[in-house]
Amino acid sequence: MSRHYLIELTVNGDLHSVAVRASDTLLKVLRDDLGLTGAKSGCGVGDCGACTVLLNGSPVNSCIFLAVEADKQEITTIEGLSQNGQLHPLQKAFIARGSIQCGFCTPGMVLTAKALIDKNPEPSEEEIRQGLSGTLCRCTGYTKIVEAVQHWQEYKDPAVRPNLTGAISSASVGKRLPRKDSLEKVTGRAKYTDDIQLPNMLHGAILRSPLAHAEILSIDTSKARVLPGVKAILTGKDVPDTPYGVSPARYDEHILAKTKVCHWGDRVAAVAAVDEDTCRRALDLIEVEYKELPAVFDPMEAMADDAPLILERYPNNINTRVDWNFGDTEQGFADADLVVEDIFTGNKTHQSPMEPHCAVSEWDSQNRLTVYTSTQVVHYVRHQLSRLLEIPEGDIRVIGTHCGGGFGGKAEVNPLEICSALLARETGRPVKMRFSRSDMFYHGRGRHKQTVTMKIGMKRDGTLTSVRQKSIVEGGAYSSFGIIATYYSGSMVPTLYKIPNYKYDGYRVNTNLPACGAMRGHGCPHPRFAFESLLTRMAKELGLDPIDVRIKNAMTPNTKTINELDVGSCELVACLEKVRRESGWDEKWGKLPFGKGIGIGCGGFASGAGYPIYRSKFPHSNAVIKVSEDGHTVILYTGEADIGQGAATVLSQIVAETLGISYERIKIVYADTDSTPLGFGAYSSRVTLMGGNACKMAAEKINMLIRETAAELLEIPGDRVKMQDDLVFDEANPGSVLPWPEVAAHFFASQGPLLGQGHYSPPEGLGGKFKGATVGTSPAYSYTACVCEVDVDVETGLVTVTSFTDAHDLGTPINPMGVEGQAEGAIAMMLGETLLEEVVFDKKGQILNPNLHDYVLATAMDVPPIHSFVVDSYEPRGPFGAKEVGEGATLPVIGAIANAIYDAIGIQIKELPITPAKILRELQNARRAKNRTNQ
Amino acid sequence: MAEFTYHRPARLTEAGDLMATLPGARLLAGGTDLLNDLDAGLVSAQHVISLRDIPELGSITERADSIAVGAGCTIAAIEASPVIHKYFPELLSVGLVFATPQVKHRATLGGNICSAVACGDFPVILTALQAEVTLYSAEGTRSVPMREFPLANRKTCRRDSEILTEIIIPKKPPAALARYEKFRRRAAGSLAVASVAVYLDLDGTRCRQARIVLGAVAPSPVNAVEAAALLQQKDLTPEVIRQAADLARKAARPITDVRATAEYRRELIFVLTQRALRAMVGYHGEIR
Ligand SMILES: Cc1cc2nc3c(=O)[nH]c(=O)nc-3n(C[C@@H](O)[C@@H](O)[C@H](O)COP(=O)(O)OP(=O)(O)OC[C@H]3O[C@@H](n4cnc5c(N)ncnc54)[C@H](O)[C@@H]3O)c2cc1C
Ligand code: FES
Ligand code: FES
Repeated sequence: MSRHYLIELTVNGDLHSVAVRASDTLLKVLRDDLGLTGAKSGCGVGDCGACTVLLNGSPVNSCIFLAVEADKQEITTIEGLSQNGQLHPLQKAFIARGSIQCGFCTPGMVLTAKALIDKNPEPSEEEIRQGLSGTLCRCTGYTKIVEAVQHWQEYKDPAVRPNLTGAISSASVGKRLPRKDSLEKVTGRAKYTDDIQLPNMLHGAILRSPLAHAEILSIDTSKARVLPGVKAILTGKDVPDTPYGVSPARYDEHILAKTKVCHWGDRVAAVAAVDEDTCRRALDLIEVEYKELPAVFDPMEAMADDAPLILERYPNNINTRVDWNFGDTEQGFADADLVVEDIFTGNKTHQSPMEPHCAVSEWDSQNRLTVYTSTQVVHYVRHQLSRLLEIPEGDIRVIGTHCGGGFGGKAEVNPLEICSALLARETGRPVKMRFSRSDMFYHGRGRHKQTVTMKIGMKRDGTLTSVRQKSIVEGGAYSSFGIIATYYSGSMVPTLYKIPNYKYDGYRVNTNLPACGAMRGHGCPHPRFAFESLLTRMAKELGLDPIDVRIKNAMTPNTKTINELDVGSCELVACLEKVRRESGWDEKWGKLPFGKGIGIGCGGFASGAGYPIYRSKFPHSNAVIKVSEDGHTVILYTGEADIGQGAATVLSQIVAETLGISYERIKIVYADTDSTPLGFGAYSSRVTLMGGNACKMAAEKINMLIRETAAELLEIPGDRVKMQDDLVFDEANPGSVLPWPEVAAHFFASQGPLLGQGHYSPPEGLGGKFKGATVGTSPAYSYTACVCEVDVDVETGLVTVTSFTDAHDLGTPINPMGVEGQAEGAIAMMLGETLLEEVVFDKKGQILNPNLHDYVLATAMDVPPIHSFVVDSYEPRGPFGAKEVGEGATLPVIGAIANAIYDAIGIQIKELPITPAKILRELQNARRAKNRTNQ
Repeated sequence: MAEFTYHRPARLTEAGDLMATLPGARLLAGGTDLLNDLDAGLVSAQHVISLRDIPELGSITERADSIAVGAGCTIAAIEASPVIHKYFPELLSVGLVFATPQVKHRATLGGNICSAVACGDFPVILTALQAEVTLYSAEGTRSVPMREFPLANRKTCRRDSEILTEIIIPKKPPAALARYEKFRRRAAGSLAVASVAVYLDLDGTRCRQARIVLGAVAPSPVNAVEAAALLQQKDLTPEVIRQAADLARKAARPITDVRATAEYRRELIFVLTQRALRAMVGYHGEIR
């Protein structure tokens, strides 16, 4: 038994005596012993700031601070910031300004900001960015956070209640309403999976392979089993043989390795024990004998005939092959005045949401499994658990807790969900499992790295004649979302510009690296980078303006693309014109001094996949609305998830607008497979359009019932009944009016529960008949243009992005503040992917930077001001005319930055990330070449 | 993290006695390095001795011809110190590019020096400023020049039982100045890819004395003696500066790691050295 120390902590003004171990961090004591779970664990090593608390008024990382060192000190956590029920002005500012998305960074961010304004009540923007630079946010792009701190004084008046701004009238759609969950998030009350503590709960951990490719000869768990505190150990032979994955055609993963490991960090065993420390010690005691096999990390090498075969079923390690041919590309190139072909290489990036994956499983007395998890897709998780555990879906309840960001990384079932369920079954106790930051990287599922050979034919006037694309998609050891990513790589290319002839060759190749998965913009950013780079280069070569060339070829509304996708609304031209004007493009492009540049990029994305991931006859999204007996409150149940993107808010607004009642009346329950009807979840940017349509339909059912009831009460024909501003009245005689709740309560009194249900499936028959034609189909497509300006330090190669101007066609913005937040976040993330981020491996397949120090995310200091605009557009298939923004907004960014660098230095960097070293090397080569020609 | 026994002495002598008697003891200052190292198993400790309550370590005092900074002063405390503002504004600019606001409230100057990580910031500038460190142990006190203190990456000449108590920085002559240039991958919260500290005593644009110290390009800060010697008694023209920077580049012995290649680091030294010198002399414009 280790020694305990009795310490006195004053936390939020209350004195606590706590017995702690010497090695306990303050974060652990606050969270586990005092139940103050507002401080989050995002990395555990001081890099992310999610654990920030105030120590005697100064911000510190509680994860690298021993609790014993806090003895007799004053600690403030987020829970202590509001006083007497009054939020701190900063908290109000965060709510009102839309500074919160997933909310995982929020407690740390608010506290860091608090420390800043306590010292300096009117900080400059620079001081704010500096002050917040130790707290990372993956969602917001920092823009709205900085804004909240700039304006915090406006919220000092206790009468200012941000959660009511502008929501009195029932017109909800198009309003900058605060998020449904912002109050919980800004006060630290929001429960994320890791905040859940169940009685008698055990902890679990996974043993990872120390080799990239090896046969498992034997596993000896005997020493680990006798370690006090260890309750269960599972290895490959103890878990079901059923393989799983994402696409049924490619189920190729095992819960734990059966006979061999396929990448460094692959899963070998799982342990449950009384605490995480014991789990870690137990993992060290498991003895595994491996026979190392030759490994391959490069996709080109992996395709060679003599390459080691990673999974038997994929000859030459080719996991997916796409061969698309639309029109006659040869003829197209023959018709062109300029044909350019070049190779562009992407980078292996990782979603790195601030919240690492976590799951808690529990079996109840009815032998039913409940899994709490941080996921984008509760129903897919349930589907896979049912397959793997061989129990009916109805006996599994998956509850999506608050989710601290996903970006695609939480769009599939994960080993924590499966192993915690198995360990909980084995031990008869609840089991919590969470990934460390390093686990996140070894679990992988980040962006597929693509090497894209792009060939474009263009007429002298800029008209595109032909495009040929080949993508080598490095996929890692398992399929995950690989097939889909590979098809997306091609399918989205012809949606942006009119391409009369298009050929796409895609190869998704397995390697001995962690599996790649779905990441925001799924499969599209790297080909888009190639395309946008070439387009600008060709425009320049032909003496044309890059924006003119884009306008000339821009997709138009109601067009069928060459790959048979149905484009409905499309305002790409308006987006281009908007950013041209707002950025001052015409005065700048080609005219800035050496080292300064401006660039344009475009993008767009599907508003939800036209087909589900596995064959299903169910509607894609479903909703139930239940009105409380007193008619006061409307509860919306939806299976979709709010992972920070704002779905709960947007869906509530749609329901409020449809019902003609105020936004405050709508309460939402989401992502719980027991209480909410099936929704495929938050991926492929589907929730606003699909979830929105289902919710709208459910609300319309309620309207029908309200109308009937009111018609009876007001003694008028039903078609004269109107609902608006929480009232139900006679359109012909507005004086004849009833409060909406009264009508609803009357319904209950006479007919029982007031319920509405709705569902949505995409139109039937989307897409062509060719192989893979379903990928890329969608009811609607978003469009985006983005202009970016950069300063290149030509001595070091360092790029500073100085501004972004972006315009979006996302149909009707349901919540403009949310839209801006998505766009700003997308830009910041892609700025990181363009300039900073890359998972780097050594020669043996071990990751060199599985942490947030050397896997470099943009801080508040790296992200420039972002000016986002929405152009007028209406999508008939979307609820109130809305479509997506979350992924489309990511797609123009790489191209825009790369083109700005090209404008600044006259050289195109064709390999991501565009690091200072690469720029410097190219500049030096150019200088040398110039000197040679001068001699 | 493995368990250990925790001690919190209230006096330096007490800490010294504990260090002398307890085997496998480690000092704990801000813990920003130590906790991560313990957790990762990079170091082990049976006993951890907290410096939190030792008053001597927390002050910044002006002496006749030097400033003494207590080893336990946090970077944030240094940034807030009027004495530092007055005598060593160059340390403020190091603070500006050091770690994150949260880390700065815990990380101590003594910890930064004793960690002796190759890419650490303060040892570089302190070497250029000819600081000395004072080491205390139950056996006595000694002082070591900063330039001799670090031996290699994570290795110093500190004996296991010694406690770094203060850092003594000699006041600069009236016309002397120092500057720190750090290159990092992003604009905040990043360790140096390469850094350069320059100390100059100037007579107009003429150099009376110079020191150039390079960071993150060798296991410990590199005193670029030849580069500095080249400047001595010269008018610091752009050409002279370029030549010195070239010598500095040659003095670097960088490695390739996940942050940068050795080649790029050398290039950075060339640029950063010129930048520092040019800024100090007052030249503007592009290098080369
Ligand atoms: C997110 C993050 C970012 C960082 N960024 C930077 C950066 O940009 N630049 C940089 O240089 N560093 C950076 N660091 C490291 C920096 O925080 C540390 O080097 C810090 O200065 C160490 O001080 P400390 O008080 O935390 O030391 P501790 O962690 O308490 O101790 C460090 C070591 O020094 C020993 N020690 C401490 N005090 C004494 C003493 N008085 N006498 C003898 N031995 C002692 C300890 O035993 C231990 O071995 C960063 C760290 C983190 C977590
Ligand atoms: S959890 Fe403490 S900084 Fe990331
Ligand atoms: S809101 Fe900042 S990380 Fe999600």
